[in-house]
Amino acid sequence: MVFPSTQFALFFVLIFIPAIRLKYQPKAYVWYILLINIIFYSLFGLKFLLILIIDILVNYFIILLQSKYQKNKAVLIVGLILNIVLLGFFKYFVFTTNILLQAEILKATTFIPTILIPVGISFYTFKVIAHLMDTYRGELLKPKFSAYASYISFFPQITSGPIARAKEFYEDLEAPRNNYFNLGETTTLVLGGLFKKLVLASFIFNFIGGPFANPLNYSSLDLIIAAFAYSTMLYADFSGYSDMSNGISNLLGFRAPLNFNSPYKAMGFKDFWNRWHISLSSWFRDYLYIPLGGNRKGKLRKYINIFITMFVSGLWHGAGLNYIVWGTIHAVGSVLSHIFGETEYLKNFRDKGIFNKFLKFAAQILTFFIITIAWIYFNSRNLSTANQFVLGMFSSDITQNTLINWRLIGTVIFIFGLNYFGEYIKYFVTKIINHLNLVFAVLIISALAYIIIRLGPDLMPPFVYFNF
Amino acid sequence: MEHDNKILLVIISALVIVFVANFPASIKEIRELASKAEERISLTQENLEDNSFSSFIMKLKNLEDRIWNKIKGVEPIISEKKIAKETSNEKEVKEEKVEEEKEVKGEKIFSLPIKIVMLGDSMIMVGFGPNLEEQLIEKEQVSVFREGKFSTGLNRIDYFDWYARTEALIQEHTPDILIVMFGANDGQGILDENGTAFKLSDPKWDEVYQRRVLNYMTTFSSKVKKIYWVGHPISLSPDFGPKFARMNKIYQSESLKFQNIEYIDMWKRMSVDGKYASALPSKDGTIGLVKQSDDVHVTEHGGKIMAEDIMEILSEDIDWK
Repeated sequence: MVFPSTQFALFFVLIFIPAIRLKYQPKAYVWYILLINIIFYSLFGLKFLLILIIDILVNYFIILLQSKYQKNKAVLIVGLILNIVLLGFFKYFVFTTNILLQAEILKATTFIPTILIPVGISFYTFKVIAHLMDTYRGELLKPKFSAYASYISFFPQITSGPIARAKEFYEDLEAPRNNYFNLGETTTLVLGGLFKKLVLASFIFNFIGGPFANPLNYSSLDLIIAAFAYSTMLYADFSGYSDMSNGISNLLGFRAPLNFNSPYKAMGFKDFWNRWHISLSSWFRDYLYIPLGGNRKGKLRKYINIFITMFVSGLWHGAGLNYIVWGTIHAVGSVLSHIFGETEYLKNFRDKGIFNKFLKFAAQILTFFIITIAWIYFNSRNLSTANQFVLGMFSSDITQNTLINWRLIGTVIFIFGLNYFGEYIKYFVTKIINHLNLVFAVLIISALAYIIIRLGPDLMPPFVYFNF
Repeated sequence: MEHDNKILLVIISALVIVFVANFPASIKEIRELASKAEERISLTQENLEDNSFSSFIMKLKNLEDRIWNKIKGVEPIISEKKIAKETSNEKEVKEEKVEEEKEVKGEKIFSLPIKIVMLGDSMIMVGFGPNLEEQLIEKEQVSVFREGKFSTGLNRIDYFDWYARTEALIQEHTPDILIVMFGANDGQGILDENGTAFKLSDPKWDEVYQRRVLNYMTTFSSKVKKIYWVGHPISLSPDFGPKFARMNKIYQSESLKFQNIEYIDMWKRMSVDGKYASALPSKDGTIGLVKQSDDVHVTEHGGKIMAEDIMEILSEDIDWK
């Protein structure tokens, strides 16, 4: 069940009515949240639910051990290994099996079962690992089982994040229900997210499948358009999902982390990762980069740590060589961004007034171009197809253009504009809705919802980050 | 709490308004589902003959649909007559061409250049489809158009109408060959021509689905030179395996009724001695897993193997030069 569906709308109305009353009774509310999490997740399959329940039980047991043997590294390491092995098993089963087959360690005649990857396993494992490390660091006290289980399985975030932090979640569970939202903000989040996913991303999706599958069939101009189209589609798709998720979390009384902040405004890779999938990049910062030593062990070590962190992030996204190239581009780009930012001479040059605006703009455009090239590796079937795509952007045997479509190009430019001016639009719409009386608010919101639904496709493509 | 109540009121009101605004469309879809099942496609939605008030509402809705489609850039609905006229001309030309080619080439049916359209469900979108397209475009003078749609098939044509879409694609690309693969999403309850629902467990389900397949084949076999109908690869999934076996049987039996439709038995080709194989070698000797974790979709490697098999079959009919 995905957010932009009638089933989900009905599900939400049904669960929201009791939530309004229960929100103000924390003891009951925590169990209520857990119950709806279980119902929601069970719709993806009972086997997945069983894995999630076992995962929660085992990890809660580890937390109990952590609270008994405080600051015990062995307990933490066992917990981390268990979770990393579990995640690795599901994510890299096919990749590893293929290597074993090609190395003839496994025979072709061996029966190899097919393993379904549980929905959202990456995202709930990230939460589990963060919790183990925060407990070890003494930043979290032993939670109640109901609170812990509710946090790990929190339904608006379980399939594709954002990766919320436990501390804030527990505070929201315990504290009297403050409203972290108003009608305008929530409407803008949910309808804005719906618009980005259902209208913008879904429209672009129709054009990019061909060029990314077989770039040799397309002209250079087509491939250039497809590359930029994918960059903007991914932003609309994932930030749209995050907005809807955050809107739903807010309605249930939980703060939700900002996951996107105009990412294509970034000047350099360092800046980009402060703006793109923020909850994931901050997770990698807090639970990988800092434990590796962060910037505490000299500059060289810092750059190595940055490289490792970005490289691992690439590996997490997928187990193909194309993902490794994608991770490496970001790793090298991030290291260079840090070097650039810390070099005094360059710093002074950058800050010179006369060049300032031009340099900022040039840095934004250059970053966007390189990130767009990197996305090609992210979205291609394999490394050779990605290489064909990149080479084809410069030279192709095909002369006939098939992607010169003003709606497509207009949509790409529109999304790019949203990246720049989205916050202003959001502010403006929020303000209007908040100033309307209830009747007009209902009418305007209904009209917006109807327009979005009608502009949407007959078939909504899946969310990109559902695969991770 | 007052604030929450306000939000709830807005959500429910908005849902009700959106539902009511869309209601005639839902009714229309239900009505059309039955007619589409038997009479193939009702491409011109204006021709709904009904004097009741609902007919007026339907006409308004159709007008609204056209406006939305215009905004979205969805291709206009093609009139049935136009299709019939154009395709009969094309058919004559193509039949002449086939005869000439048969005389010249002997057993090969096609000479270059050749136009191929590949269509179907997610199998055409990922794994198999891209690999076959890749191998086809490596050949000279072969143009390929591939279109796959997630979660579609010949069953839920209320959800996505492959009959109409195929017609439109044939109009647009005038292919010599159609390569189709359906069924991954068809293993669910089905409505017959009268709107009666049949569960998958009902033996009558097969009859209804068979008619869907037959209608598709009848409609489009006359509009292209040849259709290659790709069957499902073997699956151990207790859910999908038996469904695929049932559907493959239908595809195979129906294709035998047409001279220019060839059923490609992927069940056998993706197994070893009729038994499930987790891993298979491709032509270059690389061994890899062939199925994705759902045991329905194929991996990149599995897609490559399927594509290699189909290329062999196509080579029997096409003179690649």
